[in-house]
Amino acid sequence: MKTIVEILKEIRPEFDFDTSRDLIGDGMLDSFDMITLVADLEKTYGILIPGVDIVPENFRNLGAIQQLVERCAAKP
Amino acid sequence: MTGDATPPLRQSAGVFAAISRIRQNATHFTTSFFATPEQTQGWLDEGVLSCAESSGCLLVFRRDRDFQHLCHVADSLESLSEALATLALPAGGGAAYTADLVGRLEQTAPVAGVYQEHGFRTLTTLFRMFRLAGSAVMDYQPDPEVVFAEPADVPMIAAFFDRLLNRFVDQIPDRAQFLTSAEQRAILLIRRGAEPGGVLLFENVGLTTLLRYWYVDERFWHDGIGGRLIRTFLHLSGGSKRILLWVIADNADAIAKYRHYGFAKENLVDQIMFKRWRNE
Repeated sequence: MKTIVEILKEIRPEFDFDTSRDLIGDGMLDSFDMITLVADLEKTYGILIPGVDIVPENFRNLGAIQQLVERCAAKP
Repeated sequence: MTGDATPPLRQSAGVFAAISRIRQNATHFTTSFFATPEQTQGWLDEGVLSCAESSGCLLVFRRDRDFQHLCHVADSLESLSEALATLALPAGGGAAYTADLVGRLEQTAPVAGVYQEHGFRTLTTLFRMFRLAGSAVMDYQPDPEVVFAEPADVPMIAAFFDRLLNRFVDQIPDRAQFLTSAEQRAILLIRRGAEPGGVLLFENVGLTTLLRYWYVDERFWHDGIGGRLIRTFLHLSGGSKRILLWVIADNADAIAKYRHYGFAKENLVDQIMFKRWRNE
């Protein structure tokens, strides 16, 4: 199974996502990339990311995305 | 339902509160509204933005010249369909709506289908291209004829864009946006007499630069103006990690030019839907 970093790299291969603490503020991800990322995360991890969670705060950095995935995976 | 169907909002917080309500319990969330709170507040202050909220869907209208940009935030395609069914002649001005549906084609297609059920048609499709940092800048030499547009140039540039661009497709900036871009030294210009021979407008967002417009007056198409503008732009954008742009999917000439300068296609489209009312 692909990791979150691998998914991000497929969307935006030019960036080093490990080093950024603010992917959105640094211009590495924009709203349109978030759409693609949500679809890829749902497909890869078999989760449903509720609309209420599709906010910039949940995509700010790798840790935030990881927490989002774990939260959605824990839901019945 | 029109842009005037609900009491006018004054604060962007009201718009985003409505979006939060829609997001709650959304099972198949869909949106075409990507504006920031700052952009939203600017439009509210100008009096060009209005909203209509129904069960499970928020429609956002932004007046632009003689038409309205329409965005949606919906908890499902069914809620979107119900909201679009109530659309009427735009009371806030104009007789047409455009809606930009952005995403991968497999994501936008079902949403476009809902719009089509309610009388919209696909006006055109854009796709996004990108250029990575470190790509070689070809043949750059300082070019004294390529200058940053000054605020005083804005009326001339606005008229140039009005003449050359499609208002339904190109999201032409208003005078205030042109002025801001000029003040930020984000408009490159080559003059021909008292008119622009060519203009390139860009926008920096963090490590990304968005190439928004690159146009040459048709009278000077074979004078090398376009190449001189973009070479200067690529040189100036050396600090960006990536450069993005949107191009009309069937504009083979433009795509070939962008590829020549190192841009590659992304799997992200903007499907522009259009509906015009006729007084019949």
